[in-house]
Amino acid sequence: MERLNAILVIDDKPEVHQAVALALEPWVARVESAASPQAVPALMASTRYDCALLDMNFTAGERSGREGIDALDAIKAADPALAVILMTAYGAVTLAVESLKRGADDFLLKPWRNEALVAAVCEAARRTGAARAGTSLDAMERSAIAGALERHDGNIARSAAELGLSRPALYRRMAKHGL
Amino acid sequence: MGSSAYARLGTVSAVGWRLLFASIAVAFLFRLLTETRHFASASVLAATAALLLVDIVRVALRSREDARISPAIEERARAQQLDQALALLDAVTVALFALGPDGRIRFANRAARALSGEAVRLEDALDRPAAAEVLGLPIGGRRIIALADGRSMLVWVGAVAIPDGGTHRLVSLQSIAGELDAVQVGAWHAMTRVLAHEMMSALTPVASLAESLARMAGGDTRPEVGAAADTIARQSRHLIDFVERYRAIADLPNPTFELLDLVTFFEDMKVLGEAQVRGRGIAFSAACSPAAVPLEADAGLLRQALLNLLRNAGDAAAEAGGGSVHFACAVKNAELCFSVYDDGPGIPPDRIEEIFVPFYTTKEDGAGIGLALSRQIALAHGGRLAAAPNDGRGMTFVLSIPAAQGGC
Repeated sequence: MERLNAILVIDDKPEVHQAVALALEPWVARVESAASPQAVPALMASTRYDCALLDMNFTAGERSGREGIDALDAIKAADPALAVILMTAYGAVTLAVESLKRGADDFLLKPWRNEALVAAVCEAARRTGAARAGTSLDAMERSAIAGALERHDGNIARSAAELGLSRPALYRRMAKHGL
Repeated sequence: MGSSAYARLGTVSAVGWRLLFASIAVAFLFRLLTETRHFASASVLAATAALLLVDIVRVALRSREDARISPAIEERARAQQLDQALALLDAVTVALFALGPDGRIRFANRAARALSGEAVRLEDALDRPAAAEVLGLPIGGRRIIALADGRSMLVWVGAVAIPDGGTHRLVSLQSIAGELDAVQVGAWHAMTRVLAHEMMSALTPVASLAESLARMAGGDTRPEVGAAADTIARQSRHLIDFVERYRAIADLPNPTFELLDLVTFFEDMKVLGEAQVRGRGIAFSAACSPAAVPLEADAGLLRQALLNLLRNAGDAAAEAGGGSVHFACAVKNAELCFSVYDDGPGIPPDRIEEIFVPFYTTKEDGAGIGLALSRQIALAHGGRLAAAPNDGRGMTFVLSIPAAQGGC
């Protein structure tokens, strides 16, 4: 299997960093860590991560998972393509559902088996790669269609002619992009 | 009570009359003495004295008459008071027994009669160990005792002196099961959640690092290093499994109560019960005596609780080599009692409470959470789960929950 470039672990416990780094050593070149969500933007600006492992709680005594959900929103806003795996020691179903709705790619229950950790990280990295490749193509197509529609005041026949597409083909693509 | 108030009023007015009369006489005398001759004043004094004398005699006569009438009135008042007191004693939910010096029940209020039936002695009213515990308490003693059916009672023993010289022991028994259990369960849940969370957090790096170490311990280190890492990894996984199972009990979801039809519910349960014993050479029978009784319960949880009991009964019967399992439902004291009977090897009486302790198991591959979970579910329904040995072989587990409001 191809070795991954870098992943980011966001957890307030250094022991967790240590464990993840050691467990992923054969599969990932660099495991970087952030002790709190506040440190994440700077790291994301300097490194292109293959995936992020995000804890749900960072303050002592806090078990609601609210901090994790907020951090997830922030990461997804900064880089929608980066796959995020949420880690929680508490398998709360409602929390899992909410985080998946908000764009989390996977859920890893603490304590994990190393095999499960490796599998989740590899799958998330694959998704990040696919999203990065896909997003650019999709985004280009979408902006081309939106531009043509705007130039022709929403006239489908003329937009289709400009784009070199048949009208049904344009309709299909508009539906796909929600235009 | 009314007549004595009137009598008191009469006394007050008689004193009033006398005072008024005397003060008029004094005023008159004063006026005469300051103005006229002594003869007149002497005659007025004599008249006053005579009138007072007559008055005193009259009052004396009347009080003797009162003394003759009052016993009858007081008797009636006392009887009324007794009736009221007895009605009051019957109205309280605390069971009250008055025991004579010979230990016989001399008085029992309604709650106590419900507990004892027609029993003459406390030993027959309660189960024997509980009665012995109650009778062993000193005057003024308080203790929580557990009855054989799983209920907890707060017992208080007092003494009352009775007119004919003896002393009766007054025993009060208050059912505290619901309150106590709810408090205990709540505290237990809260503690377990924190505990499980902390343990899982701490175990996360331990388990992961141990696995990594076992992988990394290659040829250039001593072989014991790899073996040691393996052991740590295995032990931490064992601990993780343990916490997971514990969490399964503690994280019992709050029941969502809905009105169920008992007959339908029982029929479903019967099918599930049959599935537990199918192909094991065990005879299965089921009987539901009440007609369509409304049942307020969380169907999913109650089903799980009963299924645990049926599965255990099936295992027990199979252990005895193809015995029988009987599943029944009956209404007793406004409670729905589901009982599961088996004729397996049974459980020694001194082990019965242990089987409800989480992780206690007698089975090779048992997790020891089924009965603990079932009891939690019964408690969450405001009910209870108790086990008792059968007269012959095996055990009967009874899960009872209060019947729905307006049910039976």
